Amino acid sequence: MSTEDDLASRLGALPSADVPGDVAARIQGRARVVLGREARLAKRPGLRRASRLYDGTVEPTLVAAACFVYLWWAFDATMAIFR
Amino acid sequence: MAEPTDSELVLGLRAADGAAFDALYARYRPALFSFLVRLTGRRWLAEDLLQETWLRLARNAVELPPDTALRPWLFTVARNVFVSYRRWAVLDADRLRELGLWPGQRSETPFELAAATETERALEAGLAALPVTQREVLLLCAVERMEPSEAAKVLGLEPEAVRKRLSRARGMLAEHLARQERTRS
Repeated sequence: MSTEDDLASRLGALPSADVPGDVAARIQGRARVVLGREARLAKRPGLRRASRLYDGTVEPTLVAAACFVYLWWAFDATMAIFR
Repeated sequence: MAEPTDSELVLGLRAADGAAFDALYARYRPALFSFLVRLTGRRWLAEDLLQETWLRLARNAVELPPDTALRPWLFTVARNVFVSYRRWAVLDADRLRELGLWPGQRSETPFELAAATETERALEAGLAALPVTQREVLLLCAVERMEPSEAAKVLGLEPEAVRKRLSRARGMLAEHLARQERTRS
């Protein structure tokens, strides 16, 4: 057996790990909720598109805009102290 | 009763069948988690990325093409969530160490700590010491025993590039193991 084959077989024999039972159940539960929501949305394509648009574009934009406004206000208020 | 095939489970997922999802979850969770632990070196982070991987499957389940190869699909998503994490974690200690900007020692990975034998421990340490690009190709091809063509889909590379990278990674790992052996003796 060559060194390369030997290395490959040793790597292939490395043990695998798993998440603890409670973590596995939590992840599965959350994913099943999402799957259920997607199943409901699949029956209404318009609503599904709107939901994707909200999750992917509208919500991140609103969050970024809120952060920007807050930082601007904080900067302006700090500058006002030294004016 | 015979276990359902991945193709049957894809059809189940397209119909948002919870039982199909559960069967897939039981089938691929340990492999994906092990891949992510070895990729990140941290258990808590691997748990977060594992969750994101399964949430993405749930979000895309009803739109999966019927001929989807689930194993590469899941590993591609797992790798992508890891890449996204690394993109944002610019001050991650492992990344700074790779760039030579972090003087500290590499901390032991969960697999190193749990290793049953010295050989296993040395292999885990060698894997963890490799740069991410080399480590991921070894994890997919040697640990998960994927064909280079399958791993190429996961990594977004040509199969030939995967073969070259795999050969380089094996060489680096063998060198690392030999160095460790010399230090011990």
